[in-house]
Amino acid sequence: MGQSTTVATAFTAIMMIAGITILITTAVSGFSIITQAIDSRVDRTQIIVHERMAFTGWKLDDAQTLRLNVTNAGETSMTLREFDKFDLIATYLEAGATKSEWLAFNQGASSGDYWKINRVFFNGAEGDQVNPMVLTAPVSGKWDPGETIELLVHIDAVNPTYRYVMYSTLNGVTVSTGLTLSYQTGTTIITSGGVFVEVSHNLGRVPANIQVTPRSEITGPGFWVSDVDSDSFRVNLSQSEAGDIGFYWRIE
Amino acid sequence: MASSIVSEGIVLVAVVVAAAMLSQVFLTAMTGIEQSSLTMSERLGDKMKTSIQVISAVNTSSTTVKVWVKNTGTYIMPSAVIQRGDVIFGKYGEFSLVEYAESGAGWDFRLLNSDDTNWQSGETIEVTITASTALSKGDYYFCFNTFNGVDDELYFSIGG
Repeated sequence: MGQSTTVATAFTAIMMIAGITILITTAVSGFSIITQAIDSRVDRTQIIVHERMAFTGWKLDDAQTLRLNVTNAGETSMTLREFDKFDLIATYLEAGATKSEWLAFNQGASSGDYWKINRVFFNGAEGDQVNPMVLTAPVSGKWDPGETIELLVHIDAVNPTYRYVMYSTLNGVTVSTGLTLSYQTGTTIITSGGVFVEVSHNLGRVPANIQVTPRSEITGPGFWVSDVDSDSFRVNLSQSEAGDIGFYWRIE
Repeated sequence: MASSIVSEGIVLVAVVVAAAMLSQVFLTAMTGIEQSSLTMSERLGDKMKTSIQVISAVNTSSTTVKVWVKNTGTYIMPSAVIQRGDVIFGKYGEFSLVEYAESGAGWDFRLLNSDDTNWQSGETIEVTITASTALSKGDYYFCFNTFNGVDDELYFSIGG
């Protein structure tokens, strides 16, 4: 009787130990899975916290192409190979209708809808020293802190008026900018013997009002403005002058 | 003496059988707990790896809204799984669940910067919501909820 009890107890004890071992193994596996997920999340949060960008300038390159400067204002480097995971959403006016479009990164493109990196600057000079960028496809290098990339944004629409651009990194860090100037001022010169000058502007739309003031006396009957467009206008003289005629201009 | 040995043997066998049955029940229960625990851990891990961000939303016509949603986690979602997500959309205070529909009223999506049919880390989907009636001016709410309950939302406006 004593022997059978001992055997049964031993048998049961072994089974119990096996069960408890299963439980412990399961708990450890579960913790391992959760720990990996937490690690992954923490890593990503660290990146997001240190990733920052800022738009630092823009101008219209031609009727369909926008030049945008974006500076890496954070503490992380972004790999160019992963720029196809970046998002650029452009909002623009076409024939009076507002449109928004997600554009694909395509470094080799020269037509259609695309965005690509045109140049890189560091401390105001073209080029970068750390993780230098190769901007011909396939791209390589990194966008390091302090570096400014010049983006070319192209939309294959009829005279699009760019209004707003949103740019997002791989990790969902976004930056956006409006592309509407309320006014712009400048000076221009019609050189001696000339009767007009083309003035470029960055208003991003056809100006509602243009004011032009000559800086010196005009001997001819007058001057006027013509060919007003979303990126330029023309100042004309009724007849050529003996010397250069300067103008102040303001558009809004 | 001989009968004692026989009875001792019978009891021994009976006790061993009983212990084996008990152990079997115990181990089966343990295995069940193990499976449940592992499944729960895996689901929790997947959920923690899942993260999305609604980047922007805009109306592209009187009945259509486009929303861009980015996978900011590390969990890879096949297209079939994206469809199992929930889209909640509507005017502020009047939003409701929108059904997935590849044509007509409902929501649909397309993968934008992806080489395959999976929604991977860093990739963006363009969600198109087609309403059955014209969308009036005002504030709107959009929420995308993945199949495993991870969501992100955005309030935006539709104007003139």
